[in-house]
Amino acid sequence: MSTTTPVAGVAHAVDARALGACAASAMAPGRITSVWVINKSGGLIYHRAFDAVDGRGETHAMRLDANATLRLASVWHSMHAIARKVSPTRGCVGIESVECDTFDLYCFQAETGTKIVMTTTKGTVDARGTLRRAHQAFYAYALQNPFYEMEMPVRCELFDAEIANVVRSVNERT
Amino acid sequence: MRLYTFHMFNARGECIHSRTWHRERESADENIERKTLFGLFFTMKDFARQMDPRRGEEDGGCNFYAYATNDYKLHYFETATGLRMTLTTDVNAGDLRAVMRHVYSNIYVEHVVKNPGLAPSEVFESAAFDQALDEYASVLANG
Repeated sequence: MSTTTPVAGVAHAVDARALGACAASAMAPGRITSVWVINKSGGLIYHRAFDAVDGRGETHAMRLDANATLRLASVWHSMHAIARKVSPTRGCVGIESVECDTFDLYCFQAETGTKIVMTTTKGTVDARGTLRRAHQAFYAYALQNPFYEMEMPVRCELFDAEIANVVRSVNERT
Repeated sequence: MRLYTFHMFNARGECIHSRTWHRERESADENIERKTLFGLFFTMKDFARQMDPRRGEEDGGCNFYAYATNDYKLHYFETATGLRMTLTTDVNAGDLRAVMRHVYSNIYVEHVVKNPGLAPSEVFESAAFDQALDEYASVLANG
């Protein structure tokens, strides 16, 4: 019935993978478009969007109002938990990355249940390192701030400044 | 690359076919798990559309095609008719969009859509489909 043999199919798949690798090496570095901090109960406690200019000079910006960000944060919290429920494997703790047509999303969940989420334009990004730096900033400038209440929105100037630093270091890479 | 499971859903959200090659964790109720899976990628599609940084600039929307957790990766493929396919693999798998397209156009279309005995987008059992899928899966797993 089928004119394509499985082997030909795999050749096709391997080609696609090789093409993907070529595209990735030629791909411009990814730019961060937003950073989110979600507390352990799914509440959004920090959100900041950045305008990012990609390799082709096009500006990417998230246009979300405050309500949409709150809603999307809690939707993300649920999807993160549900991905564990449908896992075919035993040790799954939640989603770490989502690949979409126009952007990528990376998530890091700390032992405390706090999630740091960032969205980037398509391209290569040291997601793990960047999320770790953002989490360190959260620890150093929010959690260690005596006026900060746990699980409440973060309003700390130093945290803002540090997040801006982390994002700048990624977005100004060439 | 290790392949875990494969699921197909029609536009109404019914699981029309599934295949399991390897599972470490048994699900309590497979039917509920399939519904949960459908709900998950349905929500994630809407989530991706809303998060799209280019929203409003050009039509066509934004869809997600894969998500990765710490120990499995789910690949997602959707056609204009509302047919959806998911494939779970280990996290080392790369971009499998071409593989998903191949499964759709060279395995599903050839063995199910072109089979006059089977209704498209309905629950089906087909030995030919399973065999073709298994063969393709085994070459993928070893390749």
